[in-house]
Formats: sequence, structure tokens, C-alpha cells
Amino acid sequence: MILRTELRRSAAPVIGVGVLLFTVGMLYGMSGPWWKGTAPWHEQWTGLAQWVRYLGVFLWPLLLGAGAWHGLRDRRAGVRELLSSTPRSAWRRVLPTAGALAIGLAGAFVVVLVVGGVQVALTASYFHVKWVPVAAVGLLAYLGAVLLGAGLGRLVPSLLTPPVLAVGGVAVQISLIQSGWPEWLTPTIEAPEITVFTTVSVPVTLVQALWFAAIAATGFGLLAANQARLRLAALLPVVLGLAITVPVLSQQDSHVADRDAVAMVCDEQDGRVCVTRAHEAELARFAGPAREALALLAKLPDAPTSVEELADERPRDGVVAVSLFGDGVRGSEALDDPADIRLSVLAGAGTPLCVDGSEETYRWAVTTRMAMARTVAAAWFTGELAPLPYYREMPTTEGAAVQRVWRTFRALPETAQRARVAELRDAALDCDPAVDLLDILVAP
Amino acid sequence: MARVVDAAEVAPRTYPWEIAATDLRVRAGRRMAVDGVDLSLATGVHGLLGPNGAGKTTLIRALATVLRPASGELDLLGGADVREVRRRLGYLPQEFGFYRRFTVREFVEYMAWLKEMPKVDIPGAVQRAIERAGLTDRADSKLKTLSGGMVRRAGIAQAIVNDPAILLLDEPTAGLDPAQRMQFRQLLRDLTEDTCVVVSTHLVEDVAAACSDVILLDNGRVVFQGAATELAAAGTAADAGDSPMERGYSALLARKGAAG
Repeated sequence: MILRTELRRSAAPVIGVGVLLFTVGMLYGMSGPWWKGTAPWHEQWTGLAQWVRYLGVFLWPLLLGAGAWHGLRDRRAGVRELLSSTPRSAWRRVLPTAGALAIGLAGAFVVVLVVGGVQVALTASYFHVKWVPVAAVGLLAYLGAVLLGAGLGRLVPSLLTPPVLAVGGVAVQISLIQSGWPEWLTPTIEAPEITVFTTVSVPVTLVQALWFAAIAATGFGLLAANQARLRLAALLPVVLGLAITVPVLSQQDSHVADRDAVAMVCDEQDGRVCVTRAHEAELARFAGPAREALALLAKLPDAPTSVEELADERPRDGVVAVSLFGDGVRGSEALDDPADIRLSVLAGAGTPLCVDGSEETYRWAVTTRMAMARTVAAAWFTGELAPLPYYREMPTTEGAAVQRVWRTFRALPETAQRARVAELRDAALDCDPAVDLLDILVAP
Repeated sequence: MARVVDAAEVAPRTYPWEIAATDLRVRAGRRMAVDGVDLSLATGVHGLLGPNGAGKTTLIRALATVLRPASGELDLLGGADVREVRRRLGYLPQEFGFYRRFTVREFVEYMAWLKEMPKVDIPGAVQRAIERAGLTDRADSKLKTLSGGMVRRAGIAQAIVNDPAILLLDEPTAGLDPAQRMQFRQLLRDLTEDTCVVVSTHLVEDVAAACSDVILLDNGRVVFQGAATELAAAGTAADAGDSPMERGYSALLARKGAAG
């Protein structure tokens, strides 16, 4: 009865609808990273759970503020005098309110997951349940943020509390990352970490669940406490939570390979072509162009005999590893056009882009020289210089430069061309950032 | 409407006074606002009169178990523990706060729940309280849409929802129009049989119309306790005021001032 009243009259419906509109609005309203990469939110279960968590970067500070607004309710209404003359204990009184907030948030969360889930179910070939706890931790984190906000609003009943907490939440988020504290103390999952080939490690999920439950407990305690002693006691869960979570989270790798997702599904006929199980649905589209490219690569000495989607490991001997969703430096959209698939297999004479994660790899000059070398190497197989997928919008100066390199390279004797491309392939597979691929092709 | 009556309700009272205070002192901030009050109140309507700052609200807040006495003794319902007292208490604070988005029914329900009424009794009790407060036709309106007078009546409804043994009303008629005040007095008369009502007011005519006896408070002390007629008798034509009650009121305060 009281729960029903709180569901209708407290901040719970506003917060629930707010979370729903914000999340769905962001997901559909913007062409953010959640549409791209190996795990788009509407195509992969992993992506659905983790991109929703990604939006937490905006959401949890807002929820902290919204919770504080609710926490001011008793002060705003001036009911404390009346309430303190009633026998029901404070924690028991706060329980339906917390329940209503939890139901509001959970409702919003479930609707978002259903909206995404229906789309994922229609397209995904890879089904698993590892995403469920990852999403559930997000919900727990949001509940923790709302309750902590409410508790702090109750503790400091000022109109400034909600905005200060919302801004403070953002500040905490930034400073956590900059000061080297585990960023996993916040519910946010960062965009580069979201791939279908990895999953949030189980210990991290467990520790996060514990941490956010501790925050929720402290928030609830602060909301219910009416004496200084009890307020102090309410801080205990967060302090204990920090003591446990910080050491654990600092040592854990947050994402671990998802073995089921990266298992290869192959089309064996006449040149082996494989994709990860996560992208099984792409195999039919991918196999034809990949096989054509494989035939062109036969010009090489010691030519590769199969093409595999690049997941989380460097390629094995005789296998061309191709990333179907961007090359790790520039694009992140799925390859669609058969010509693009062919070019991606041929790029760098059948080698993946060498990205070692260092700053050096991302420098413009380095990226450009590498891209030119890979483009020219691909052109050697097709006989026609064409920009690689993801590199079409490179400035025209590079376009002119690449034309010059292409002419210089074509002027070399046929055998020298073959030798240099083979050398480039070996160097690219070694992936030594100190080696300049362009020099290999055209240096005198 | 028939309802289950439990044994506690029909058990004979074992105490002579609903409210018994001996040398009661209560602080309001630093000031000792109630400073040595002796009171024994049984069922009936007791008007608590006095000038502003006399300690009326502080006394009521102590009786409502909101403030803890600084010293002295305060036995409510024969010394029942605080939780039991609060279950059988109705309280309308001077500044009645409420959740604006709740409807009248929801708020009264909420208060009934906070007073730990049995779940099955709540809907009936809420309806009855709303009817007695004269808010039946606005029961499902949100509180923020009500006028000041109607909010006051919602405050009365929440105070009486648990059929309290002690009903504390701090300035209940503030904001009510004359018709509503008459209705309110009628309500008080209906309650008196098994309720100890303490009504704080500075409107002498409210006391005259509805109270069986009067407590006159000044500077934190009881300067007069007796029947309303005795209050009227204390005044003479020479005292300030437009009615016998008012003249009695002025006379007692003046006498106290002269004595002090």
C-alpha cells in the first residue's frame, strides 16, 4: 500500500522515466560508438550490456543529484516534526521509498534491455548469459548512486546539494582516472574496452557488485539515520567496501578473453575462411571476397592459405588475419562492400595493422606512412591503386604522395617488387614499430 | 463499519490520567520554555491558552514525544513506553508539513501506517477520519491543490486516524474560516468521550466554545487551571477584553505579572 503510494508520488517514477528517456535517447539519438565496433549495442549481447554501462559515465552523477533531490523531500515538506512523533522506526519508514526507487530504476533498465535485446535476438548468432551479471551490476550501481544521493541530501538538506553532488560525481570520475585509482570504482565501462571478444572478468563483476551494494547500504543508512552515531555507522559499508575493492580492483584485469566468442567458425571449401563465433552471421558475406583475395595473395612466396577474422591474438603462420570491424586505429564500422573486404585482406600484403598500443602508433606521420605502405602493397596484388577502407578521407596531399610512391614502386623490376612486398609482409607480421614499412617498399 | 476490536482497546484503563506531568521542564533551544509545569489531564478537551512565547508549543511538543524533557516527570497513558504512546497519539503540529504530491487519502494512509495500525484496519480508519474532518469530496485530491483551510483539515484527519487516546492540536483553527471553525468545534465535542484532547490556541473564543477546561500558561508555568466558567469568573469589568473569557484571561495574566 505504502510502496504503491511511493511508486506513484516519490521521485521514483521521475527517476525511472528519466533514466529510460536518457538512455534510449542517447542510444538512438546519437551516432555514438555504441553503433560501431565489434559489439554494437543492438547486435551483440555483450555490447548491449556494456554500452548501457558505458552510458553510466553521464548517468550516475545525474542519479546522485536526483537522489539528493529526493533526500530533501522531508525537509522540503517540513514533515520531520510530524514523523518524529510516530512509532515506526526510521529504517522501516525509508524501506518502501528505497523499494520504489529500486523498482523505478529496474523498470527503466529492463525496458532498455528489452528494446536492445529484441534487436540483438534478431541478429546475434552468438548467445550467452555472461552479459547478464554485467548489466545487473550496472543496475545495482545506479541504485547505489540514487540511495547515496538521497542519504547525502538528507544529511545536508540544502538546495545546493543536488547540483553539487552531480558536478562532484563528474569530478570524482575524472580524478579517479587521473590519480590512478581503479576506474572500476565507478560503474562506467570505457569505450575502447568494449569488444565482443572479451568479457568483464568474473572477479571484477563480483567485487563491483559488492562495492555498489556497500554504497547502496551507506546511502540507505544515511537516509534512515537520525542520530550522529547512526550516521557514522552508516559510513561503515563504504569504508569496508573501499578497503576490499581497491586492492582487488587494482590487481585485476578488467576484461578477459571470451573464449566462446573468439572460437573460429570456418568455411573450409577451397581456401579456408573463418570468422569468430561472435560474428558467425558474417561468414557467408565474408567468405567470397576473402577467398578472391586469398587467390591474389598466392603471388607471394610462401603464400598464406587461409583467412581468419582477427580477434584478440596475432595471426598464426599461413593465416591472414583480418579485422572486420575497423583496423584498431581508424575505423570501427563493419566492412560491408565486397571490394572493401578484398582490400582489407590484401592490405599490407595480408597483414593486420601493427598496433602495439603505444603513443607512437597513433602519431599522424607514423600512421600515414604505414597506411601508404599498406595501400601500395595491396595495389600490387590488384594492379590498381585504391584507398583502403577507413583511409578514404585522408587528405589529398597524402593522396598525391601515395601516387608518387606507387609510381616509384612500379618502376622497380618485377622480381624486386615481389621481393620487397614479401619483405614488407614479414616485417609487418613481426610488428616492430621501429621498422618503417614504406622504406622497405621504395628506399633505394 | 464493523471492525475487529482487540483486547487492549476494551481493557479497563489502569491509570487515572492520560497525561501526568510533575515539575516538568523542557528546553526550546537554550531557553527553558516550559519551566516547572504540573499537570494532570484525563479525557476531555483541554484548552491550552497563553500569550505568544508562553511555552504552549514547547509543552505540546514534549507531550508529542518529539522533545525530551530536561527534567521532571512526564507520564503518558500511565507510563507506557514511547512506542506504545506514539501508537495512541494524534498530533497536529503548529506548522503542519505534508508531502505535496500525495493525495489526502494517501497521506492519511501513510500516517496510519507510521502509527503502526493493523493493515486491515487502515482503509476503513482512513475513510472515517477523512469524513470526520469534512474532506470526503477532496479525499483523492493532491494536497498541493488544497486551500489552507482544507490542508488544516487534512492535518486533523491524519491526527485522528488512529482514534488516539491523546490528541494534541497546536493552533488547529489557524487558517479556518468561521464555518470551518464551528465544524471543528463540533468535531472536538464528538471526540471527548474517550480521548484526552489538548488544544493549544491563542483564540480565547475557541476555548470558550469547545473546551471543558482551560490551562493558562505564561512564561513556561501554569498560572491557571480550571473550568472555562472559572476563567470567565476571574475577570471583572475593569479588565481588558470583549467577552467574559477574554476579561478573565487578561485578569489572570495581569495578576500573575503583578505577583511576579
